[in-house]
Amino acid sequence: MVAINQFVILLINGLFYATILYLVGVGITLIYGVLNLVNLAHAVFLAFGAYLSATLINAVAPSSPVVVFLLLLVGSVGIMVAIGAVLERTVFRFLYDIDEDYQILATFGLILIAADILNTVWGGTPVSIDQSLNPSIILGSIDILGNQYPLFNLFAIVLFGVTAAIPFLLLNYTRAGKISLAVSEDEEMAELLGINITRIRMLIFGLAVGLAALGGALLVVTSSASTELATRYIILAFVVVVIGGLGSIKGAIVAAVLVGIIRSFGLAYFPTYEAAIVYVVMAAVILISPKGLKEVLPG
Amino acid sequence: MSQSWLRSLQPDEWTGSYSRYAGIVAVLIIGLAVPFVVSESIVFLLTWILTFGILTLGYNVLYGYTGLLSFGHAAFFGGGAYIVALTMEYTGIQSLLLLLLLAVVGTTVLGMILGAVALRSTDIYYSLLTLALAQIVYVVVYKSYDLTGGSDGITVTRPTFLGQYGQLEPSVYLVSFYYYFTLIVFAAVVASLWVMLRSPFGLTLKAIRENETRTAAIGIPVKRYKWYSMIISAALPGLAGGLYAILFTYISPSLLYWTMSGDILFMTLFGGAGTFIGPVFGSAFYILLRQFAAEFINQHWQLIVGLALFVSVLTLRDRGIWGGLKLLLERIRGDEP
Repeated sequence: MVAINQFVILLINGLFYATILYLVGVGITLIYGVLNLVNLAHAVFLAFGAYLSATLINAVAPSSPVVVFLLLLVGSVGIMVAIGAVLERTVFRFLYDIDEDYQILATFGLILIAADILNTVWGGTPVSIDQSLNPSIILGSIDILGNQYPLFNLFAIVLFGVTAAIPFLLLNYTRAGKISLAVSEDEEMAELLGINITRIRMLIFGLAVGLAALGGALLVVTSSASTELATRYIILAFVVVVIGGLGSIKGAIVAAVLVGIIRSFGLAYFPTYEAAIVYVVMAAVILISPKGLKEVLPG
Repeated sequence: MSQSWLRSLQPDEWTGSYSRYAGIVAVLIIGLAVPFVVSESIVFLLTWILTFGILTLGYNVLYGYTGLLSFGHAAFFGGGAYIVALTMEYTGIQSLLLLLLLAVVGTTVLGMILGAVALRSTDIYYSLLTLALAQIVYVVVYKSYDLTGGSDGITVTRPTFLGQYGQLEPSVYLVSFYYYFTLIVFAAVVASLWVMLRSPFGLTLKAIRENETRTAAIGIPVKRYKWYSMIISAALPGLAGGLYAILFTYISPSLLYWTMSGDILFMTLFGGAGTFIGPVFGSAFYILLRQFAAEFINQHWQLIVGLALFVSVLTLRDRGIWGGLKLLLERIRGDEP
């Protein structure tokens, strides 16, 4: 069978994948749940987050590691949140009232536009953080059952835990969160009760974009930013969201872990057709329980 | 059945005369004369447009007429291309007709299978399911390096037609034979679809699109008709894929990737999914855009296509440019929209 330390490494790797998938997927599911919008293009924010982080860190080239981390986690994410809020008001607002099918089509158009922008601004060659500035190098590796493992990846997984809790805390314990829940239940009624729908929309959309950008930031540390990042993660994120159930945050968490682990173990044991496994699972979920895991999860 | 067939040939309300048929004959004559007056590269472009025209007209049967948004049609288009390429490579079959027939049969079967699976869902889940299923096809082809060459792709040589032409130079092959062949196939497809979509079968599909529950209530086996629609809508892109493989003499797994499905969707929708011939214009737009000599447009084709799609979905919904034009004409003539 498999050596225990190999198993553990694969598991942790799976959780790292899951972190990225969750960060993009939860945004899609939030936007679907609260804003009733199918945003096929959401993963482009992951790509932008990745490119922006690398470019920012390389450009500023801070000597202090703390600043590097700040730029990574707060700087690029903050910029993307702002951009997200602006985009919501200028572009995405027109999509709320149209049929879901048309939302898919329109956001597909946005994917193409975004791909063009990425290509024009950053070109075809992948961008990564300079070796000397890379947070993963800064943190170094840690010994896990005899294997050297990057501490940064573990840090990312911790972030998974934090960001997984955030939507819950936000939605259930803050005023804005409860208002968002109300809006997702019955928008018209919420509006009649005097709730500023516009502000909620900007908030939720900005949050969703920020999380996706964070995913991109974490990803670019361990690999690099390239234009095909968007197309690859668009579909993976939707696999996660479908399995978890459109609109369910808990579902997104569980599905992300599931898909992440499948990918990790799949790559190790079935490298040839590993990529197909997730699509098979997605198809199976749609056929068996279209609403995804949220039907079977508590709460 | 024969009565409605005849009825479909009668002048229709829109033109109010036989001028539409005169227009079609004129286009055909021009089409036949074209290779004599234009350069080879333009003939190539036209053949490409005709091929994608077949592709999108086929897709439109499912989307425009039946109302099902499939995001997995790359599987049929790429499937047809790969069937032709692999058959030529592994069996040495050179006959153009036989190869295309195999492509059509193969994708018909694929359509039957994927259709049976996908149609268990509706609405957005149907779309997502078609996406997942097509991606499975993509991965299998992409990863089966020994069989398909993976991302290296496959080169395709010129098949023979009734034993001839196969040994011709590529450009001569195109200009003196293949263009005409594609034109005739295109015309045949258009004619058959025109009749089929005006027949009770076609009207049933439209009824399903308009109001599925009501159609079921009057006794139509809706699921079965959806399945038929998927099969037809799989066979035609399969044919187009085969034609494409021969035209481009090289294929790769990118023809099966989900972004190809998106391109098919764009061409059909932007051209006009709610119309009959609209998709062909969408195909022409897409191809001309990608080939346009002007640097800016060529480099930023994604931006233009994306913008065009976004704006047209918001303003014209499924009418596309052709439908939009028709609407404009109606408004000008003072008819009720």
